[in-house]
Order: sequence, then structure tokens, then C-alpha cells
Amino acid sequence: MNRQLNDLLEKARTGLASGDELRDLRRLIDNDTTGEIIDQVNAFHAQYLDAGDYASGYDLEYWHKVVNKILSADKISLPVKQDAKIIAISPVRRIRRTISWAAAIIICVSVGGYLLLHKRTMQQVAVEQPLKRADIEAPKINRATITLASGQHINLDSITSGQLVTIGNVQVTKLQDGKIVYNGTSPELIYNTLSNPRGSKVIDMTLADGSRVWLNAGSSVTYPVAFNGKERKVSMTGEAYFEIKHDASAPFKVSKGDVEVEVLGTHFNVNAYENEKTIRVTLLEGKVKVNRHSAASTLVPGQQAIVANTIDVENEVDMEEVMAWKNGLFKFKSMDVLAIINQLTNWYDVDISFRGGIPEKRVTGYIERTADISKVLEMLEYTAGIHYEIEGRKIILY
Amino acid sequence: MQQSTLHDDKKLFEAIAEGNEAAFEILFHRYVPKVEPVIRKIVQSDAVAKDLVQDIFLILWLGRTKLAEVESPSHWIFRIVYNRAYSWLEQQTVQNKIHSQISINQQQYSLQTEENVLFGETSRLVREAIHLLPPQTQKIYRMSREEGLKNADIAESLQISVNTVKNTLVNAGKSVREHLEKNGIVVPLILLTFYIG
Repeated sequence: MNRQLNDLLEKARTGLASGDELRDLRRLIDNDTTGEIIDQVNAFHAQYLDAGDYASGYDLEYWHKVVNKILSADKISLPVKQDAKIIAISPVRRIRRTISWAAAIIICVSVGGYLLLHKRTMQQVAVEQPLKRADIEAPKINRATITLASGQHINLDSITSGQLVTIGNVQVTKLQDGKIVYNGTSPELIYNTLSNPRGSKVIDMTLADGSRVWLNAGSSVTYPVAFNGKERKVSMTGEAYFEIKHDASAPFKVSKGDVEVEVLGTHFNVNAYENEKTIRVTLLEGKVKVNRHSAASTLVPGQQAIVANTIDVENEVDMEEVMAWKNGLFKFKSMDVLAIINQLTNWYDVDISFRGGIPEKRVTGYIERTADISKVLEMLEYTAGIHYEIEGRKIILY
Repeated sequence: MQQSTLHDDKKLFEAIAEGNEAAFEILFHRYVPKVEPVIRKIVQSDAVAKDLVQDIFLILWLGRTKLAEVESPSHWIFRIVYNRAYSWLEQQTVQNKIHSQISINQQQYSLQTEENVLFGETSRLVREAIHLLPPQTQKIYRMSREEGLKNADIAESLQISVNTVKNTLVNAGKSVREHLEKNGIVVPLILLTFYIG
């Protein structure tokens, strides 16, 4: 232990160090050739840093901008290919004022994601890998089905586009871009179910009232082919994003088990996967009320209700993270490993297990959902030191 | 675990030395959560800490060609961290003496960091410095920085040796730093050329 060093550090800490003393301290640090001084300075600060100092959180949005600023500092102009990539990737059409800052982030995401994805770039960073490993591709097609009231299934991928079926006066159409549209009226409530299996691309459907639903992989929604009466009721599993057509005379209700979200006209996301312990309802626009038994919470835009035995309302929600699935991204912001595993399980339709317990680590990173699973797992490897093996559709992490 | 982190960090440093932006980003997000609280503790200001983090990683990026030789990345990063943080304290102390005024004038500083005046000037000077490079150097530099080509690819396409590419990039980096220093922006050279073994 270097006594002089410790005295100087203590003086600096308590604001008593003179300019000369601070210069001496800095020189000791600059001239360290063995790392011993640095270790001592680290140890000194470790005494005074506690969880509270780290708890203020890592502002990923802010730091991403800084990274971009630094990386562009010695560029004469931005390469054209990055601009092109931004246009290609950004599904920002639907991003509203509430998350308008997202545009800036998308740029970071696309550049970062692009680089992470780019094989050539990856190879440079790659920690040596013994063998070319097996891999699993991201879903390339949508394998959703519609189950009619009769129990008959319609496989949506087997039909290119056009009219799928007519139910009474309601036409069900598949558009060229794969969207499903219900149109028409029906005197009685006839229910259909749209199911999107694990390992299938996100599907987008317009209900008979003009409301839109996006369904993530491993999710389903049951709805009337046409609404009538005082309420519009649908139920769901998995994860879905809703943009509800305003109709003050007929509130829209989404239920999952005994949890109900009641809305007038609004945009919100419901994450209710069975492998998650809670149901999370996130409001982007408008107003919703989340009910469970006698408990109820009303959300304002930007809030998230976390429904377990009680309903907790979270104010500081990262909308980009919540909506990443709809925008074709994985976005992990200090996310625990289990939550990431759940997302990968649904998207790639794989079984993931751990050799020796789930590590209690938090991971931060972005990647496009079109990436092979190995790219996502490599990210986990670099950022959290979690290694992987792929065997068929089984993945072992260790 | 410690061993593997060291190993990973070294790999990242090697990749960054080649101009790999993804590696820089990974390193940045790995270290900033660790260094920011320490800096904040030393300088007692959130805004100043944020600014210093940016400076530190800018120094790292602009001096990247040398990173491949660093034996212990963690020591290397923390040395710059402490150098910058205590230099800042030193400057404050000296300034306070001169103006015999105790307040650091937090608000004024925050205003400055908001738009980051210094950073904008640094970027401008870096660009200026690049335009001053000889044509062949500029060409290699652009291929590396703008097209993201690896040294080996640049060497092949220009029919020169990989070592020539490497040396050209090292010299380009040096010219940039010298241009910055001439204009009063000091990238502490001692930190970039002196290595913990």
C-alpha cells in the first residue's frame, strides 16, 4: 500500500487537495507501468461506491448518441450505405410523437445492428471458435392460421393473396403484403382465432371496426368477425400490439385470463406470454384501464401496468424496447437473461436450457430480428460471457 | 472469469485497433457503466462526468491504432479515467485560485455540455486534419474509416503490403492528433504511447 497515494486520494475525495497535490496524484497515475497504482486507486474508490452509485441507471439512449458522435468524429462524411440502411430498416411510419425521440435511436440501432450483423465485421471481433457451429435462421415466413367458428383452419401461408373466406356478410382478405383484413357486418357475434406460432413472422390484421392488431410469434387473438352491441371484446395470448379505432359508444376490451384492458381509442401493447411471470400492458397513446378482479389502474401514455397479484404502474418505460418486436428488432436494455431467453424461444422456436443455473446478469444490446440466432447468442457471449451450443433446435447456454 | 474478461477485452482492443466500430461499441457499453459512477464520485457532477466519459472514449478511438499492443485494457482505460478526472479537479482548483471564487458554476458548465462545444470543435479539426493528409494516406484512411475495409483488404486492393497500410494509418492518426494539439486540443499523448506491460 502506497501511503502517499492513499493520502492524496483521501484529500482529493474530501476536497482538501491543493492544485499541486492533485498534480502529484495525476503523475503517480500516469507513470504507473505495472498496474499496481491503478489497482490501488480502484480499491480506494470501491470503498466509497455502493449500489446506490450504480443504481441511477445506464442511459442507453444517451450513450448510443455519444458512441455515434465519437465514431463519426474522424469521418469526413457519413458513408452512403449507412444512410441506405437507415431507410431500409426504419419502420418509423407508425411511431408517434410520444416516442418521436425514437428516430434518433433507430439510427443508432440500424448502424449498430448493421455492424453487429455484418459478417466481415463480426469476424474481426470473433473470439476464436473451434468449429463452424450449427445455426438457426430467423423466421422468414409467416405461418399463422385462422380458426373459424366451425373449427376449420385456414393456413395463411398457403394462400398468396386475395379473398380467404366469406362469413355471412364479412369478407376476410389477405393483402399482397400479407396483412389480413376483415370487412363487413354480422348480426350475430361469430368468433375467429388468429394464431401465430413460435418461429413465425409478425402478422398484422385489421378487424371489422378498422382496429389493427399486430401479433408476435407464439401468440393468438380471438375476436368477432364483426362487432356489434355496446362492447367490442377480444381475448389474446402471447404478445400483441393494438391500434384501436375510436368509438365512444362501444368500448374495446382485451382480455387475457382474468386481466382485462378497457379502452376507448388508443395504441397499446400487451405482453402476456405464459413464460413471463406477469402481464405487461404498455400504453403509447390515449387512455386505457387495466382491470383484474377488483383491482384497476388507469394508464396515461408512456406508462406500463405490470399485472401480477397486484397491478403496479411503471412510469419510466422504454417504448422502443417494448415495441422493438413490432419494429423488427431485439432491444435489450439491462434485461435479465431469462427475459431474453423467453424472447428467443418464441421468435426462433427453439428450446433453450442452461448448464449450471441461469446467470444473474443483465444484458444491453440491439440486434435485428432477421439475424440468425447465432448472432444474438454471440452478442450474449460478448456482453455477458454466456457461451452457447446449438444442437438441432435445442440450445444450451453455459 | 477474470481471465476470460481480460482475453475478451484484448480481442476487442485488437479489433478496435483495426477500426472495428462494432468492437468499439461493445467495449464502450462494457466499460461506461463501470467508469461513470467512479468519475461522478471524483468530480461530484453528473454533467462533468458525462463529458469526461465522452472525452476518454474519444481519446481511445482517436488513438486506436496503438491499442493492439496494450496488455491490460482495464488498467489502460482506468488510467485515462483517473488522469482525466483528477486533471479536471486540478484545473478547477487552479481556476478557483485565480478567480478566488469557490463555485464551479455548475450551471454554466451544464449549458456548455448541452451542445458540447468542445466536441464539435474537435470533430471539425479532425476533418480538417484529414483533408491535409497526402492523397495516398487520405485514400487509405478513407478506405479504412469510411468503407470499413480491413487492413488486409486495403493492401490487396492497392497492391501494397499490410504493413504499409498499418503504418500509413498510424501516421494518419498521429497527424490528426498533432493537428488537434496545434489548435489547443490536447489529446494526452502520454496516455496513448505509454503502456502497462
